[in-house]
Amino acid sequence: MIRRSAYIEAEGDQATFHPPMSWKFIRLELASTGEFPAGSVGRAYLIRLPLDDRDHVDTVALDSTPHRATFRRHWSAEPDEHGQITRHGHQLEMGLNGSTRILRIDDRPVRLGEHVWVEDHDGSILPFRIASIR
Amino acid sequence: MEAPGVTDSAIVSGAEEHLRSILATVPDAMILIDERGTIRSFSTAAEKMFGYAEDEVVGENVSMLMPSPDRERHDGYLKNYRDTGVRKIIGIGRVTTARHRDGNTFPIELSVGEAWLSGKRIFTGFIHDLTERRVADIRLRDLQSELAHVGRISEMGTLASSLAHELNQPLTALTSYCEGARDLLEGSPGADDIETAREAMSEAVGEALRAGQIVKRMREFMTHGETEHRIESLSKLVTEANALALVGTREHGIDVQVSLDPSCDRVFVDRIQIQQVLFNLIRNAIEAMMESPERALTIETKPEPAGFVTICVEDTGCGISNTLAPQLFQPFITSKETGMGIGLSICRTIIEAHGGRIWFEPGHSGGTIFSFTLPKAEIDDEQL
Repeated sequence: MIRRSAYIEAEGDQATFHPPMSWKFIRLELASTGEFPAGSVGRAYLIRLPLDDRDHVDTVALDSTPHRATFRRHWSAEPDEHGQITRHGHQLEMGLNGSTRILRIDDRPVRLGEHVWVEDHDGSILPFRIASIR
Repeated sequence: MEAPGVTDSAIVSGAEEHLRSILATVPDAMILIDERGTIRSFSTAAEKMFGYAEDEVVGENVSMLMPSPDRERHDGYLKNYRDTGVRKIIGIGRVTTARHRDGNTFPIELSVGEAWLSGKRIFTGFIHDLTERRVADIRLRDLQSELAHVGRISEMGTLASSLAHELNQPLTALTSYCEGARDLLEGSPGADDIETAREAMSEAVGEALRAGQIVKRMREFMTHGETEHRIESLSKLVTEANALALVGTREHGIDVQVSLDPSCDRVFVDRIQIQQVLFNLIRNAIEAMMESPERALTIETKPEPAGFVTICVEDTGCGISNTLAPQLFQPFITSKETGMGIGLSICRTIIEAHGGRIWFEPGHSGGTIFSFTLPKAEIDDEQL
């Protein structure tokens, strides 16, 4: 599988480092659940991850600058949460103050309208719809 | 008077249609919520301003449109109003920040009205986006800024010349007394010469003290000014200063995170001065990130050290160079092409006059964290 990554371009005597342009802000909004049959735009994650040419998570770019992978959680009347996303094998973890939520994208492409899942601290799993990628 | 054949439901339907037409045309964003904070109507301008369609947000808590700390506090604000009837924003208005669907925050001017509809209380929020001000407003602000710049240079020039004039007299006298004493002590001075030289040295000491008094008086004049210390809410100071500092920055996509500890919200300060410090630090942070791929601004308060609150402003900019770092709080030191380099110097003067201190350190993601402390106001909420 081809993974996009940073590349170096020679310009005269100078070699210029070009960071990959694949880092995206991806908004995940709560999809239909028992409690919210129509989903909820007020319950969302804004995650920052690198995507490759096939819209999969670019693990090469992610591993080269892991501090850029971040998440924000905007959840109705609860305080905003923010932290780092870390990769452990195929698993993406959103960590905050020692507790972790697992972001389940698996090997699916990250595209508008697709679904991903977030496993909460208590083991419950909620579906999210990819609402925007920019 | 009701027309013959017109039912209550027809009247209600007509009123709703009227409301719909207002919501579709009112230029500022208009949001109707019930007394629990649930969104009931969302105008066309609000849809454009926040990036949500009305049918997506009706039924959601209005706090979803706010960043922390208002997001988690808004239900409490409503409950407090229901319980006490004390108005803190209704009919008053305030400058604050809102959150767009894309995650970005932006400054707004919020006005809230209250009404009763079919026996139920509703609140109407009118929201004016401060980033959307007309070019003329922005130009006016630039002109004001230039005028303030010129004014400051002029004031400093006046101050410098008056200081030089005041100091010149004692320094001239001091030089004369010292030269006289030196001449008297040359060769083989007699007892009278030594006594006269001693008197001259005493006079010189007096003149040196006088010069010191002039400097001290000038400092008192500069620092005392007309300050007004009161017990203030730190979250309010931060929210307002942040909103104002974000004016004109929406297109830069600054990711703002505000994390305020409610246990250290009360401080005894001059509101204008502390907002000036916050404004300076936030604008510096924004400017430092203009060339960065990451543009995250974090404002945090912590209840430490004992008796104080620490306020931190962190950016993800390029950091402070080693050559600039040691002199950063000195006046006339700047890395900017424009600017006098007195912003941080003024910040330090203000913070030290409040009994706090200000410093900086490298940020967690390569930028810089500027922090300052302020004394906590030891007072119960009931006293406010």
